[in-house]
Amino acid sequence: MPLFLVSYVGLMILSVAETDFSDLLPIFSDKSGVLKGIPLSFNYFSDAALFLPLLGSYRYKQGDGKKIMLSYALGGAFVLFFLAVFYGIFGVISPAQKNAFMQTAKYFSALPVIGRFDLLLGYLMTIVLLFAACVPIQLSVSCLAEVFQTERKPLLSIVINVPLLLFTCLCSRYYSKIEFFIERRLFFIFPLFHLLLPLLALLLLLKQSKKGKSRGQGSDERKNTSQNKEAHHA
Amino acid sequence: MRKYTASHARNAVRYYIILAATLLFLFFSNDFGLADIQKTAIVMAVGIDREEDEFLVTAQIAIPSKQNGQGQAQAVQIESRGETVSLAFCQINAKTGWYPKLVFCNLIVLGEEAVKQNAFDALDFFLRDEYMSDSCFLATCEGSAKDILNTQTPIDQISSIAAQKVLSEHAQRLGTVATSSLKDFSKGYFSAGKSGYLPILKAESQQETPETNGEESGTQGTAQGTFSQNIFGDQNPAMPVLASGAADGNTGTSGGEVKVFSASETALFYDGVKVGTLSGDETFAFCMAKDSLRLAAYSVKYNGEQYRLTIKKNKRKIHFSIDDNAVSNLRITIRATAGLRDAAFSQTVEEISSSGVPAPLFMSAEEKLKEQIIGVFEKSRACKCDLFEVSERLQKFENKYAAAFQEDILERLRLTVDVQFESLR
Repeated sequence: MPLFLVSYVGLMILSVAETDFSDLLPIFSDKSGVLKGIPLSFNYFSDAALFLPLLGSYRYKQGDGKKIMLSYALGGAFVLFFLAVFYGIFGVISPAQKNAFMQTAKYFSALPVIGRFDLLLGYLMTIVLLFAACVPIQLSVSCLAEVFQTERKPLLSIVINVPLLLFTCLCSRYYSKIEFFIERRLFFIFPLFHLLLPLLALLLLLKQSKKGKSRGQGSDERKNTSQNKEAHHA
Repeated sequence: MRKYTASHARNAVRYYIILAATLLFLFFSNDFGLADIQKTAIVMAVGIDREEDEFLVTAQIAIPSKQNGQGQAQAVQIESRGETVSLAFCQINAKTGWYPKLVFCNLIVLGEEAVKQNAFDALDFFLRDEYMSDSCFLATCEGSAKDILNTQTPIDQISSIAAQKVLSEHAQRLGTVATSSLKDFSKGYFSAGKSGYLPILKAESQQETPETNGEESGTQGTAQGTFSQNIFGDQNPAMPVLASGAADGNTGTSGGEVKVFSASETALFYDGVKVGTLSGDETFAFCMAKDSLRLAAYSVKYNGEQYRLTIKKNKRKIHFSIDDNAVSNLRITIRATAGLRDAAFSQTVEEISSSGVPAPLFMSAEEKLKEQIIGVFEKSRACKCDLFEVSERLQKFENKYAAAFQEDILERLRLTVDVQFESLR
């Protein structure tokens, strides 16, 4: 988190002066374009699925819900602000830019004099992104260990990582095709995991409350019968 | 899930530190053998000319050399041809064995012939190259770009560095040059207006050659005076613009005519093709409306006498609107804070010590600048160049009219210019 904040805030400070936020106008004028764009961005905004491995092992404390929602909203705000700055700088030529995080700060007026220190901030961001890429893999190992009730995590790690490594080695040359396939064809998979599945988890609460109620009713009945028995003896 | 203990946390931090250190080492150590410096050509500037269907690319390549124990940068120009710019760059490798690297390329010059057709035929290569910085200066020139890069200047041994000084941010703040980067020009081209502008680089003979003996101080004084006029924002297109500290009157290299660069004129583009030219005065007026200027100089004639004003700063606002009668309006408002720099005649002590500027002089300056801005707009309108980004403003701020007005927005636009000069104190 500190690495992310240093790099993100630093890059944004260097970038904002060059930004023309009026390039974002008119917002939502092309409604059909926005609607078409939403499914295409599903795979980039599916972080809610990362909460799923915490199911059943997280002990809720008072106020945790607010904190989680706030941190999630902050994450969204960071992303939206970066996109606004990025589009405000490049406007119509935004789609032609590669490595977006490295692009926005390079127009800072002092850089030609003091050197490209924005690259260091970009490097910090790359480390953060590296860990961000590792988190789903790490969590999937924990998830599998939970499912199979095993403590042999190194073995599970190999089971997950070796196919991933092979996939990376064999398919890296088809990057654009795979990106197209995931972005355009498999877009519906992502909301299943990051929207539908967390919502379905609410059903677990329902089941729990039913159990609780039935337990509550059973104990009342037991209390009543014992009281009747005591009365009868008396 | 197992309990997350303090030892786990410590180990995780250790792993992160080790990983970060390893990555840092890899990052700063070397280039992993990807680039051999002996075979790499560091391209500092590129000139592109067009001959029928072929592009003639002149790459200025830096060569580090040692003379008298001191490192001194030099450059060579390599020419190559190709049906595309990329093909021409490949020819450089075939001719020299060097691999051209564009990471340090800060200037692209488009020759006169290259801008008679779509300039983006040539620029496409640079937009696609992810190692090339799109903040590099972009300029066009009179004649061929090859000649511009081959120019000998007293400013620097490498002509592109001398040219970059003329196109610098400092010159832009003085209003002497309307600079444009690859990014800005591309944004204009791909936007609704399909318009843009580029400074016109010219190599000009020095107006006064310094004499080597006799009247030494006088000659130097003249040369310095000539240059400093331009440093402070002269709008005379015939005058070269030099970087401060460079005008020492030294002719520099031997053999061949030594020239200096100027870029006070501006080329207008529509759909990638050059369609018009702004003079030096018009360029200054355009800069006043578009950029934040600092300590710029402005010449005004009043009562038959020449005065020069120092424009300390200018606040400008361009407002586009469509009124209830569906009339599109563009209102340019400029508030300039200015003082008197000098006059072309001797003044009394009282006049010199007075900090204020006579109101009629300001009125005259306001009238002149207003006429110049209207002139710039009419010139750009005549050649369909959307210099004030009206089409974009239509899309952004009056989007509901965009479909109906987009085609002929420049023809139907009503321009209002409001200029006010205020005294420094």
